[in-house]
This record gives sequence, C-alpha cells and structure tokens, in this order.
Amino acid sequence: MDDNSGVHRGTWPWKRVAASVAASALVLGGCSGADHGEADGKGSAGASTSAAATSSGSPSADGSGSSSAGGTPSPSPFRADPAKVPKTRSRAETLAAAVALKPQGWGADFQAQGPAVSTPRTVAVLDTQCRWERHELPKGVLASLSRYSEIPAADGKGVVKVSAAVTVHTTVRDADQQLATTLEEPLRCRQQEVRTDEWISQLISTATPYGQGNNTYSDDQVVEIGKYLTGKSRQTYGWYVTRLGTVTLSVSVKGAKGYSDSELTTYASNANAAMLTRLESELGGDS
Amino acid sequence: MEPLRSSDPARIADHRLLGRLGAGGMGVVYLARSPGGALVALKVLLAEYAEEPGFKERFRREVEVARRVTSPSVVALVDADPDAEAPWLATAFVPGPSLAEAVTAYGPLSERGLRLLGARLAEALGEVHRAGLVHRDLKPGNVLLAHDGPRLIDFGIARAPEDRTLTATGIVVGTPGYLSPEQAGGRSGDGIGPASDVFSLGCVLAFAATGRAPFGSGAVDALLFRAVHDPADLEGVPARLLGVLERCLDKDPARRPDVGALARELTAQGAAQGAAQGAGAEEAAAEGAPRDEGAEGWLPEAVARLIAERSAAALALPDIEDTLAPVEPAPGSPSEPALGSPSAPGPGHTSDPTPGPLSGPASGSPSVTPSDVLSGTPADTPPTPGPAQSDTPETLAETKDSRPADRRRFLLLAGGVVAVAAGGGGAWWAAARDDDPGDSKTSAAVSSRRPVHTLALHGDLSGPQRATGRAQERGLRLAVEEFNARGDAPFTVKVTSVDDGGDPVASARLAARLTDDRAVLGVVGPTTDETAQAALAKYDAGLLPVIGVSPGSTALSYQGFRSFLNARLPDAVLPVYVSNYLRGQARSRKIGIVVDRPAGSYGTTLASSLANTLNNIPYPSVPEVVSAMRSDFGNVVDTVLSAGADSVFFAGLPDRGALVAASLKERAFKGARISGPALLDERFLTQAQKNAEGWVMVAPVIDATRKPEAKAFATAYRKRFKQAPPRYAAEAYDVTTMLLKALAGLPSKNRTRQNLLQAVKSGKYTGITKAFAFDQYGAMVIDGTGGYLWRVDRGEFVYDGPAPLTV
Repeated sequence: MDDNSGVHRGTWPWKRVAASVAASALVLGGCSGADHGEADGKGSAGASTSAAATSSGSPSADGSGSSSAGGTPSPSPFRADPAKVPKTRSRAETLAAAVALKPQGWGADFQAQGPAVSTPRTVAVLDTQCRWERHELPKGVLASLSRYSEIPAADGKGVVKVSAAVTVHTTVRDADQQLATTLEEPLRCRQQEVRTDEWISQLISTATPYGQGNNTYSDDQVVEIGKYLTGKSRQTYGWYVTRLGTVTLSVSVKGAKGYSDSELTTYASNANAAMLTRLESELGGDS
Repeated sequence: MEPLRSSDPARIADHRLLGRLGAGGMGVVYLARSPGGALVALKVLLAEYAEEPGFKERFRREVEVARRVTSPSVVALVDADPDAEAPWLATAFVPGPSLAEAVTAYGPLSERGLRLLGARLAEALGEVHRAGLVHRDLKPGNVLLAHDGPRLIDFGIARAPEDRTLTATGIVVGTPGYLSPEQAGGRSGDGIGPASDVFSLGCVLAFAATGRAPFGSGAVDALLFRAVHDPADLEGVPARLLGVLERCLDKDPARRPDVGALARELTAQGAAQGAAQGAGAEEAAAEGAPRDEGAEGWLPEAVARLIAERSAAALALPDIEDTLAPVEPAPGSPSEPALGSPSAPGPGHTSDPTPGPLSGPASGSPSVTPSDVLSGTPADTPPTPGPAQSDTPETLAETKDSRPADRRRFLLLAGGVVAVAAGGGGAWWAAARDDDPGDSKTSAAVSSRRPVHTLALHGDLSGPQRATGRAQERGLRLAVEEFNARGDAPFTVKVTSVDDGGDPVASARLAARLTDDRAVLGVVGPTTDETAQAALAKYDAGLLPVIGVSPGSTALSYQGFRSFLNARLPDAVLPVYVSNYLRGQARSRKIGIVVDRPAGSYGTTLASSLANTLNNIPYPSVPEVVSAMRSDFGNVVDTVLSAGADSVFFAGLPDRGALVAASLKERAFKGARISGPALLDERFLTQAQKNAEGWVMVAPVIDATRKPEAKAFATAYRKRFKQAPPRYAAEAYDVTTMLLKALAGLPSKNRTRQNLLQAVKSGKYTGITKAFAFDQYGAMVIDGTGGYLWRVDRGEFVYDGPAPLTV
C-alpha cells in the first residue's frame, strides 16, 4: 500500500472495502445458498469489462448526465463535483489513467506485465462463443483502461497476475448496466476463455448494492470468485467490479502456486479500495 | 496458529497451552505441551456443552473410539479425560498441513502420492472398521500430511453402524461433498456401514487427484443431491486409478470394494507399475517395507518443504518451563515463514460439527485456514483477538464475546446483515394480542397445576409479509390450543407473539427479548430471510430453538447458528423442479431466465441454481439480468424471446413480475411462464390482473384444503378462524406440533431449550404437510419432496400438488 489510499481520508474506505470483499469471499466460499459453484466465469486478460456490451443489446437508455436515469434516484455514498465528472473522451481517459492502479500501487512486489496496458479505446467483451475479446468502445463508454501487473515467480511460488481497470461511462445507467452484464456472464457461459488455453470457470457471484451488506462505500459491487485454469493448473480467480457514479472499477486476481486465498483477497481488496479512494479524490465531491 | 486469548486458561490438566489451532462449534483445539514435554493438539469441550449430556457423551465416544483404533496412519491419542468438568483429549501434534490445505495451495498429488495416500487411508479405515466402527467424516480436512504418510484425525462422529444413540434416523451427519449417498440421503444408522467410508475415501482421492471435490462445491443441499444422483466428476484422475475410484464411488454400497482389497490393489498396482518403470526399489510400498522408505517423496516438494518448516518451527516453541505466554515473532522477522507452522493442522484438528462457510467444501472454495490469518500484513492484524478463523483485516463489532461462537458471529457480521445497533423500530410486543379465545383456555389451564411453558411466534405481522406472518401465527395458535385441550397434556403452553413488521432491526431486538425470557422454550419464525438473518444470532446466544417456516435462504443454515432449524425447502433447490417442469410438462426447448436485481440474492440464487442445473445437463437457456434502474421489461422480453427462448423463468418479486407478465401478454407469448415462491403473493394477482393467467409458481408450501392429509387441519382452522387456512398456516401448525411433541417427550425436569433443540433436531416428524428431518446444520434433509406447483387460474392461485421430480 504505497499509494495514496489511506492518505487523504485516513484509512477510510479500504478497511471497510477489504472487510466487505473478504466477507463476500467468505460467503461465496462456502454457503451462499445462491450458487452452486458451477456457474462460470468471467475475466479477461486484463479484465476490463464489457461496459455497455450487453449481450442483450438492451437499449441502455439514454439517461443524461450522471444522475440516475429514469428510475428513482438511489442514495449514494458519494457526491461527485458535477464539474469533475468526465463528459468527453479525453477527460475520461485522463481520469482512467489517474485511477487505474499501476504495479507499484499494488505493492512493492509487483511489476508490469507485458503488455502493461490494454489497447487504447477498447473494452473487454465476452462474445457469444464465451471468449473474451477486446472490442471498440461501444456507445455509452467514454474511456476504458486496464493495467496488468504481476508478482514474478520466486522461491517456488508462481506468478500472480492481476489487473486493474477503470471504465468511464456516459451515464449512470450505462455504468449500472455493466454490473448487470457482469452478473449475466456466468449464467451465460459456464466456462470462459480468457486467451488460448486460459480459462475461467465456476464463478460464483454476489451482488451488494449500496446500503446492503457492508457496502457503505460504493453505489454497487459485484464480487465473483471462481477458478483460473491454465494447462493443468487450477488456481483461484477473483473478480471485483465496483461502481461509483458513472465509473466502474474492476480488479481481477489470478492465483498462483504458493499463494493462499486470503493473500489474494487482500491484494484485491486493497487494490479496490485504493482505486476507490483515488476516484473520489479525482471527482472531488463531498461524501 | 492464533495466540491464546485472555479468556483462555494457561493450562489444562497440566498441559501448558501454547496457542490456538482452531475452534469449532463445540470446543477449542489448542497446541499444548504435555506434562512430559511433547507437543499435542488438545481439544477441549466447551463448558456450556459439557453440561449437556448429549455432547459430553459424544465427546466420551470420540475418546473411546480414538483409544480403540491404533494404526500408524491414525493420529494417536495421547491422553484424555472425558469426565473432567471441561472434558479434553490430547492427540499427537502433526505439524503438517491437511490434505485440503496442501492440495488447495500446491495442487494435486502425483499418481504415486495418490496410491500411497489411498493405501494408507484404506489401512487406517480397516483398523476403524475392525474396531466395529465407521468413521463417517472422512474428508481432506481430516487428513493431515506427514513426511511418511497421511494421518487420519477426528473421530467426532464415528460410531458403530447399528448404534442409533447419537442421532436418530433421517439425519445427515458428516461433511457434505464427501458423504456417501446413503449418508446424504439421511438413511438411518444401520444403513451407514464401512462401505460409506469407502465412498468418502473415493471422494478424498478424487480431490487429491484433481483439486476438486468430485461432487462440486457450493450449496450443501445441492452437494447432497449430487452425491445421491449425479456421477462423480473424475476428470483429470490418472487413467490407472480411474477404475478403482469409480468402484469406490459406486452409488450402491454393496458394489464398492472393501478397504482391505482397496489397500492391496493400490499398493500392488503401484508396485507393479514402479517395477515396470524400473523404479521398483524406491517404490517398494509393499507390506512390510519400511514406511519411511516406501513413502519417500510421496508429496510434492513444496508440501514436503512446508512440513519441514513447520516441524522446525514446532521445535522452537516454548518448552515446559517457560512461563510467559508464547510470543509470536514479529511479522517480517526472518523467522516469519516458520511462524505459520503451529497452525499447520489447521482445520484438521478442529472437529467442528457445524462448519461455517469457511470450512465448507475443502476444494474450490476460497476457504481460509488459521494459518492464513498469519499471512496478513501487520496492518491487517486485528487489534484485538479476532475470531478464530477469520481472514478479514477488519475487526468487526461485537468482539466482546470471545466464545467459540465468534467464528459464526464473525461470519454473520461479515455478511453485514446483522443489525448490530439496536435502535428504534416499528415493532411492538404482541402479548396484548391475547384477544382470542385460545388465551382464555390458556389462562384456565394455567390455573390448574400443570407446569407452563411458552412458545413464541416471531413474525412479520404488520409489514409487507404480514399475510405469511399472520398465517404462521394462527397455525401456531391452533396447534397450541389443540395441545392444551388434550386431557393428558403434561404441561400447558402459553403463546407469545411478536411482530417485527419486516424490519431487521426490530427483529434482532425482539429476538433478544424472547431469548432473555427464560419461559420461552421455542420460537416459530421469523418470516423473511432478512428478519431471520438479523435474529438468529440472538437466538443462538441463548440456544433458544427457532424454526423457520418461510425463509428460503440456504445461507441461514450454514452460518453456524446452533439453534436454528429451517423447516422449509430452500430456494436454491427449487430450480431443480423448475427445470423438470419446463423440460418435461412444458416441453420448452430453450429457457429464458430473467433475473431481476431488485430481488437481491433471492433472484440470483434461483437464477444461478437454474442456470447451473440446465448447464449441467446441458440444456439451452438464455439469461438476462435486469438492473434496478430499468423497468423496460418490453425490451427485456424482446431480448430473451429473440434469442430463441420459448419459456420464461422470472427470478424476481411480484411488482416487477407484473411488468414482465404484461410484456409477455402484449406479445401474446404462449410459452410457459414460471417463477418462485415470491410470486405466490396476492400482490402479483392484483398488479398483474389478467396477465397473471397461466403463470406457474414452484413453492415450498401446500394448500391445506387440497392435500388429503391436511383436511382435518383445514376443517379445524376454518372452524376456529372462520376462513380457509392461508398458505404457511399448515406449515407453522406442523412445526409447532413437532416442537410440542418433542417437548412432551422430555421428562419434566429436562424440558430445557437445549434438550428441546436436540430432540427436535435429531428426531424425525411426519406432519400433515410433509416429513421433517434436519441435517447437522439444522437444514431440511433433502429427500426430493417439499416442492409444490401452483398456477394462476381465473385470478386465483390454484394448487397443483407436488412439483415433478423427474422430467
């Protein structure tokens, strides 16, 4: 945690985020009557997500601005300064670049993967063949940036690959739809191909909108835990998607030999919290 | 290993305690130094359980079993005193990880490792079986790894096949995911023989070979269902072991090999193979070969190194004469890797009969072992002794009770649903509701000299689910009145009814009040998942038996609330019927699944369960998740239909269900439209009007006027309340009668909450709605019954009887 989390607001969100994510993981881990662990996965090489690329093509209403479109305005943990909410692609790209966690933001052990960032102006989309691909930005997405980091193999431990992604949407509804899409993917694809011979499977989801569970820090959050399969290796996969206003933050963590699930959870929740803190700092409202 | 807590004693029976290895539902396992200086795992039964004859008896039995079984592959009993005030037993300390931990962290074992593991465990089970016992809880967490082979631990639930003293029939005991079909089916004691252990061994070997539990992971009821009905997932098992594993996992106990044959087969084949490969000398695992030699290199190198590190660290622990509490080296110091060592046995040394989510299926889950607690950075370390096996960096509220319930408590809090702050609330004590004739009868009876006990109804009597809550209240009252009217009733029952209005905060507060009222021996309710989630910790704290009639979340049963029994088939199971109905009767070729996010986990539970069920067949489906911000169900429906769905399952609540119904009607949709229990609500009818026609609901509730066994109840209800019994009245009547029967079966001086809980939980009761039996978690034993079909016909819900078990 050498980044700015915990700096401008004490330890504010990260402890709670961490607790929540841990809790989700726990709930997911064993009981969550919800799911049977055989839904499937999600993820992408870099786990930026599919933004408005809803499988349904459901018209993502053209709600305007950053207030909730159409529906009743829901309570939110954070009020952005409207002037700072990006309305243009270039502003959105600047915001994404400022928030998406670089290797050093994950911790001293991390370094950049090659490639270290996603192709500009693309988002990850789970296609109809259940393969993750990067597509051009759809309508409703202003910018999307994924940064890929890893802890190199050492001392008999494998490589832990992580990603941090920021997607800036045109409207709250567009951003909101990304979480629905996230929940839909494991229902649609029991097994998802991240790239050749890399699979995500058995994803179990929990969704925690603001005010529910321990979510006091974001408008909405979906946590999915599953398996990351490469060759004969079978590791834990964690995927955390968080929405604040028109922005969705995603963190993915692929486990490796020698790392416990709780270590992975700690990485993910710290990264998630760090990005939330940065985002709030960038959007500069009062909360 | 966790440090000792201030509440922990420094010594137990001359054993110096060094730290906590784990905590289970009934006790704590310490790492301790024996009077002779040996390291032991010392398990202590909690005082509150030690007073309970049942638990003490069980503990005594565990000691007895451990004494009778001697095998190099069974962890040795060192000493024990089951008659002490706080009964304890000490076993040899094995510094290695459990199989669960090792495979999860380092991957599957080699074929050679698998053979050795299988042969040794089979030999160990042979000893158990020769002693006339069945282990019944063989799972990766109960196998510790040492450099020379595995060690079987935990005889907490072992018993003789014919012995029924501990659990009555119909109870599932053991760990789902590794249970034999005969155990999962809740078969009576004499059906669980040695072959059951062979099945579990097959599961353990499959896990060790693939890293996955062969029946998957996830909701317990689903696991049980799969163990009984589905083939095992053996993908990735080495080809030469496939045949033998398949035979171990045969659904028919009679066709499984016995452990002797199994041990020979694994050993002989392995030796043959080794010889064939020219590695015979080292592979001499045949009988009589020195163990260390035969076992050399049987584990992945990383696991072997871990064991070595932990063994080394164990040596560094304080010896007998040290008086200070063990000091954990500062994290980050050079000795840090060794720090993890004493925790090595991890969950293996706990014999938690009620594992929470953490110790669920060992394989796929992101479960946490105590050692993981140590991997956090200093900043992550809870400032106060935290819950035994948490991995959260945050210390959550309510740490003041550091009893073993902490872990449960933690999970509950971590789930974030418990209402910690008791605040205001719209609820009121409904004791004043004694405005009906039942209570005058009660008062009359009170004046006679029978003892008086109180049953409570905890429900939503004024909020959104008041129809369900009130139905339960009346069902309970009718059962109590019938009981009190009996000439031979050994006691009189008084009813207390509390209304939480559907508010979780009020629910928690009322639960605390009922728990504090020592006259209350049992509770029926609460009405909803949310109010139950808020209340159960309170009931647990007073071990007040509470039986749910309408909450459907599986999670309620697996958070370790000791006193909660859920008498309802959970939501997660209902989609099995939905799938059968749609594929069979409705002849759907592609199933649209509309998941409405405002329905929260109810919706995602139903949807993911259905999607999994269909994907596993496989059968075509098309999911659509609808955000709370959307209400354009016309578009939703168009999306699903244009993707080819010819039926629609709606995972959501009545108000928006009415919107979906309208959209489907507009499109003159002719296919099946089906939903879950939440739509079986008058609000769906009033809001959807004609659009509701033909909708089908799968729900865990009967129509008492239509089910023959419930006729007498329906008549009595009508007479008493001047109306037909509403849904959930008969179910509440049943569980109340079950409670009263169990209570009446206890000698008068034993009519305590604890005894009532045990009697109900371990008994089996056939009511007018269905048969009731509970597993070790207090969840309904899944026997294929309990799901019913309803349909909307001319503006009313019409009961169509049991939902289809097959296509």
